[in-house]
Parts: sequence; C-alpha cells; structure tokens
Amino acid sequence: MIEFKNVDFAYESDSLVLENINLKINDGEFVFIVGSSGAGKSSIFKLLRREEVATKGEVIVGGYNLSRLSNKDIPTYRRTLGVVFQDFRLIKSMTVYENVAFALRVTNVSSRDIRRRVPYILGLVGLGPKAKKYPDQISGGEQQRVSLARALVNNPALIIADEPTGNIDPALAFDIMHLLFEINRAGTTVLVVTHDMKLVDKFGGRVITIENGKVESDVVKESKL
Amino acid sequence: MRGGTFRYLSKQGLSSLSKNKLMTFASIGVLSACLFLISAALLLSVNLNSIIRYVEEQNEIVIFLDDLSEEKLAEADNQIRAIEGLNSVTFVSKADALKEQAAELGDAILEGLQDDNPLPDSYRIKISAYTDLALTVSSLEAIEGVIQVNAPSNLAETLASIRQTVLIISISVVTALILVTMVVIANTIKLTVFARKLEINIMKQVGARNNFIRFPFMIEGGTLGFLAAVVSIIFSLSAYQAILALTAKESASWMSAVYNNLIPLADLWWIIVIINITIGVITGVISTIASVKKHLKV
Ligand SMILES: Nc1ncnc2c1ncn2[C@@H]1O[C@H](COP(=O)(O)OP(=O)(O)OP(=O)(O)O)[C@@H](O)[C@H]1O
Ligand SMILES: [Mg+2]
Repeated sequence: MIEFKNVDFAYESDSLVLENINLKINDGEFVFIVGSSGAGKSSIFKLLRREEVATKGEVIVGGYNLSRLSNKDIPTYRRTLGVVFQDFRLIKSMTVYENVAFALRVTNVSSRDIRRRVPYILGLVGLGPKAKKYPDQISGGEQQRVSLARALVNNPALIIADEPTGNIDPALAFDIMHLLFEINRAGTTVLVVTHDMKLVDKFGGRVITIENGKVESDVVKESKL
Repeated sequence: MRGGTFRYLSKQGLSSLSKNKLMTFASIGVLSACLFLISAALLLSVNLNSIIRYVEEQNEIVIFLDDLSEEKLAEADNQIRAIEGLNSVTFVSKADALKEQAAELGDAILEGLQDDNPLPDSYRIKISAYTDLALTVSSLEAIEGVIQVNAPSNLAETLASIRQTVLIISISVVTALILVTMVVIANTIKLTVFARKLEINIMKQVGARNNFIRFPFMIEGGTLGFLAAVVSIIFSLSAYQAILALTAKESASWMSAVYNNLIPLADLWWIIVIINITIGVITGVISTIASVKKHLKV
C-alpha cells in the first residue's frame, strides 16, 4: 500500500512543488496520474523512489516509511520497485541486454537466471532483436521500452512508470499499456503518469489529477475496452 | 557476492581501464615514477646499511707493543683497559699471532720462527661507533711500551650519519610522493568517475549497494597500481643490475670495499617486488575509492 500523509515538498526552500498531498493506493490497483506539465507528477515519483524526501508529512510504501529510511535500507527498498523514467536513464556504455540484466545483477541473481529472464522480458516489450545494441543506436521509443523492460525484469511489487508511452506511436502505446494492465492483473500495483488522455479514456480505472502541486481530482473511470 | 557477479564487476573495472587509455597511461606513469623513487630509496638505504655494517666490523684498533717485561706488560694492560669507550680489548701474544699467521699461510712458515718469533705482542681493541677516535688513539699512543697504533678512518661514523640523513630524507620524500600520486590518480580517475556520474546515479536508482558500485572502481584502481608496480619493478631492478655490473668492473679501485658489500640482486629482488606491489595496489585502490565517494550519495 502507498500512503501520502499531508505531504509538502520543495526543491528549494521557497516554493512548494507539492502541497498537502493525501493519497491512499491499495495493493493491486492500477492508477493513472495526469496533469499539465510542471504540475508535480514526476516529483511525486521522485518521492516514491526516495530520490527526494518529503519536506513535510510522510510517504509510506509497502511498510517502508520513506522519511525514516536508513541509508542501508534504501537499496533494499528500491529493489522492490520497477521504475520507468521519463528520461529513460539508460547506461550508455552498456548494451540493451546489459541495461536490463543490470537491475538483476544488483540484486545478486544468478547468471543462469539472468540468461533466462532477460531475453524473455526483452521479447515481451518487442526488443529481442535489439539486445546487442547500445542506447545511442536505437530510437527514443525503443529506449523507452528498454527502460520499461528494466522496470519489469525483477518482478517488482510496485511499478511506477513516468510517461512510458511518451515517444511511441499510438498502436505500440496501446500494446505497452496493455502489457502494464496484464502485469497489474497478475497482482502488481501500477502507477502510470501520462499526457495521453485517449489511452486513459480507453483503459479507464482510477485517475488522479494533479494541478499546481495539489490533488485536483481522484476519480474512477469506466473502461472502454 | 556470487562468482558471476564478481566476474561481471571485475570485467567492468578492467574494461574501463582500456576505454580510458589516456587516463590509464597518465596514472600508471605517475604512480610508477613514484614507485621507482621509492625503490631507489629502499635500495640505497639497504645497501648503505650493509656497507655500514661492514665498516663497523672493521672498526678495530690494533696496537703493537715493544718487547716488555711481564711487569711492564701488566702495567700497560691496566692503562689500556682504563681508557673509556672501548668495547672489547683482546690481548694477542706474539705466540698467538704466530699461530694465526700459520693458520692463514700454512704451517711451513713456522719453520725456524718458533724459536725466534719476530711478531710483537698486540692488542685488538673494538671501539663503539660513538667513541671519539682521535682522543682514544692519542691516549693509546701515550702509554709506555706502545710502539704503533693502527686506527681505522672515520668512515663508519660518517656513513652512520649519512644513513640517518638518507633515511629521514627518503621517508619524507616518499610520503610526499605517495600523497601527490594519490591526488593525481584521484583527479584523473575523478574525470572518468564524473563521466560516469549518471551511470552511478542509475545504478543507485535500481537498488545497487555502494560496495557493488565501488567494486569495479576498486578493481580499476588496483589493476592500475599493479601495472605501475610491474613497470617500476622492471626499471628499478634493471637499473640496480646495471649498477652492480658497473661496480663489479671497478674492483681494483679504493671503493672496492664498498662495492663488494653491495647486496646481490638475488638477495633483495623480492623486497622490491613486495614493496612495489603492496604500495602500488593500495595507493590505486584508495585513490579510486576516494574519487567515487562523492557520487554515491544519491
Ligand atoms: N530538480 C529540480 N529542481 C528545482 N525545481 C524542479 C526540479 N525538478 C522539477 N522542478 C520543478 O518542480 C515543478 C514540478 O515538476 P515535475 O517534474 O514534477 O512536473 P511534471 O508534472 O512531471 O511535468 P511534466 O509533465 O512536464 O513532466 C516544476 O515547476 C519544475 O520546474
Ligand atoms: Mg514529469
């Protein structure tokens, strides 16, 4: 379960980027987070990744109180997450395969399991043939899918995806979103930030709108699938 | 850490070395120059020690006596032993001296000499390195019945003070050099670490522990130090070998006593190898860890 309790957040001391956020997201939910550019969506994800710490209030994820997480526990906590970054964050010196495998190596998974798991996940996001390419040698949409593959590879309990379909054509975007839905159906909590209202309308579900650092609305829309 | 992970991380560190060839060469250059100077200082002080030990062994005064009556001899003996700063005083009678000569040169010389021994009675006196040699010699000369005093030069004293100075200078130069080398390596590596700042950040984001991120850098630094050590070992040992070869040719000169006491390569190459590799690897690892530290706080 994810819980934001009276959360304020500011990068610099003067201006609040997030103001009095209160949210409760249960295990197994699929949630869209929408809102205009600069509203604070990525900042919410930064708090969830414990890249930043709430200025006020508490963020609690799966029993971890992120404001009180010790340095030693941060890696342990992060391994429970699958993150798709808005800016992909791929390691340029590693191939597509290595970028994905890396998330497993970090957690001490055996080489044999890595060799089994990584090709499977790359196939899932349609990147099998690109495994040996470097990030600079593939398109933006492909890089985005590498980021997605890395997020999925260690079977996380929670996936947070910042614009996972931002650079992808509509057909592929639908497929990717569908994949996230399938993963969600298998029990994983999924949070997706998107600007693509067509996708939101089509898939439906819980939609949280953030504006000016506040929760503007939190509704459930019907699926049109 | 799993074997697979270990191999993977080691490979990462090594591939970084070959990717950043310029920085690798620069760091190895600086570190091996430093290690070479350390080796030179070490070789110098080890050899100086051996020479000083030799010279100290030669630090013996021999005095020869007239043919003295037993009473006079006892009196001279008392006077000699009363002098301060003598480590040991050994009386060698003319008969003993003859036996020694016979032992050295063969019994043949005893023939005809047994009854008419031409050798004088003598004393062998060891003095400590701190004794005032000139004063001791003049006191000995003043004793009645002493006909000759053979004293060594002051070489031992001079060498002892040189050794002290060399030791102090080498320790301070070597310490300074190691510090400078660490700073240089830390800075060269900092450049590649900075280039990999984003990479480190991503690693931390997917849950890598600090040790996991540090490990390739440690392998990188350790390998760098090891390679520098190998370079330094090759250069310092061949230089030393060349010096030994050169001095061997000069055996006739007055310096031969010194040259003969240089330590042969076979007796000290392992010291140079161990010291170089230890200092090289430790310096390499410490300076890399220092340069990564800052970027781990994300
Ligand atoms: N590192 C930072 N330092 C200071 N201010 C920042 C930083 N990152 C974001 N901001 C500011 O915080 C606010 C919220 O940014 P955020 O990235 O959360 O927006 P967003 O909702 O994700 O926007 P977008 O849809 O364009 O990605 C913006 O005003 C932005 O300028
Ligand atoms: Mg954003």
